[in-house]
Amino acid sequence: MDALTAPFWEGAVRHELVLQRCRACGYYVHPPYPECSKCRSNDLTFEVVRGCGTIFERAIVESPVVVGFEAAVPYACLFVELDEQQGLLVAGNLVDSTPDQAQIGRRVEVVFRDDDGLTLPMFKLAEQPSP
Amino acid sequence: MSRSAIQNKVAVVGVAYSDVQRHSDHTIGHLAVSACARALADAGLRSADVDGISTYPIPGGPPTGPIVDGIDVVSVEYVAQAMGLDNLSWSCSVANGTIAAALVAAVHALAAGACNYALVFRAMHNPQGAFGRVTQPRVAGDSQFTAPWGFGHNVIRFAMPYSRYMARYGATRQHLATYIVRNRANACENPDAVFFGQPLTVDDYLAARMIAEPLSLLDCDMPVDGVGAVVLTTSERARDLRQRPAYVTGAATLGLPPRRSLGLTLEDFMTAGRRLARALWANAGLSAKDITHAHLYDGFSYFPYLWLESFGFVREGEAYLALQDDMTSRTGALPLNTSGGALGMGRLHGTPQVIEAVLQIQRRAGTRQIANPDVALVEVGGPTLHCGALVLSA
Repeated sequence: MDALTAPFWEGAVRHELVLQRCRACGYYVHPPYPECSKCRSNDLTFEVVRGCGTIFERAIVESPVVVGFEAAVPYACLFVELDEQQGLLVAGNLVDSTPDQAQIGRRVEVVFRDDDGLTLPMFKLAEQPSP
Repeated sequence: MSRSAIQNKVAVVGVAYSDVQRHSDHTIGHLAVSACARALADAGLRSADVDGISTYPIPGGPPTGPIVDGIDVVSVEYVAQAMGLDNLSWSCSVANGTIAAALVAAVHALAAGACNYALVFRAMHNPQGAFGRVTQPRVAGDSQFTAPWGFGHNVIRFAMPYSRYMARYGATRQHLATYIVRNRANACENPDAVFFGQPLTVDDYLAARMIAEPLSLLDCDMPVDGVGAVVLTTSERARDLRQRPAYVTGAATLGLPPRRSLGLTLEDFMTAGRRLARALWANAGLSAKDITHAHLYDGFSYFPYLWLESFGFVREGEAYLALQDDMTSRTGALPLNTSGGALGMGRLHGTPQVIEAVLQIQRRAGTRQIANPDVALVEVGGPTLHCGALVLSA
């Protein structure tokens, strides 16, 4: 966490998904950056997003290759494309379902998990298919 | 088409590997000197002839401790010192692009007259212990948006775009098995390959231990201790040397990735791949239809799909189907990775792609020799930051 990224992590503690957004053109920028990747404005702010989206890419980690995550195997790593903007990706794990449910194109929604002083946004399968 | 300033001005005249093993008893510095000396001998040159040298010196995997020259990596300074290269007038260590960018830099230097005989090498050391494990108690920068969810391993990173390719186009692991098994069959005819004499079946592949689904152990090239080296000179000088020259008809690198993003997406890969392809075809004055064999980096098994599509051999989303027939076999219209590729040769970071193209052009590929080796496409690196490509011609 640093000055550029603090609003994301402070939002997570409040159980809100908070992303950087350009005031000039409305484009979401993630990970945060000092200037807008669409219009190059440096007038950026942070906003709460709904946290609903679609699984865009995923990997199911089945071997204990990541230090600190050995006990979590198997787990699903997701890039979720949020509804707010085409190509707006956030990372998370699939929770409340087995990893093999992490199929590309499935609808998911953000949930928050507090663990050992760290709050992380995660994703669970959406209860209702999107209209 | 227009000709670039480098077209056929420079040729590859010598190639060699060090001994390549999963773990060598020798230091990587010793292996680098061995490969460079063999490549010079292959060309019929002496170390006193060498006046240019380049490499891509970045460690082959995440460092597990302090980085020592000659033990963990090999710099141009190390080789120059160890081989007594006292006549250098040009050297280069590239930051991006693997051995392809080091080759492209040497081609430019030779064409511009900055040197006359250039030695280019890539050294890969496989540290003891599980490969690629990273201990990161704290993360900063963009990785703070992936590492806390357990994304911190290259196999996971590269599994993501493949998952999208499969879902989007209907490709399966059974489809990729065709390529994997054919690749290994090529390696079985290549005495330089770490998997020489070790055939693989479709069932072996489908039963392999999964690392990060859809990538299993057999979808990743095996880390090795090994070095590949290449000698280049101007085309005029090349005609007087021992081997038939493999002329550099075109050469290009990606430069930098198209844009920053959270991780790797299939779309990022294809954007980068198409840009590299445009740069290479413009530089070479050629297109896919002119190529008679291809050597496409396969450090992760599915990369050849993306390269075949990026370079325009097949339409997007169709490479996995094209690989099901004999098109890419040694007797097909486009023989592919006849050496066994990265998967068969070990993790030498694309150097085998370069060396095999040269051996085919020189008609020195033994039982792997193809009938028409006149125009080769060589691509090195994944379709991200570190990639470059060349067209080599007889």
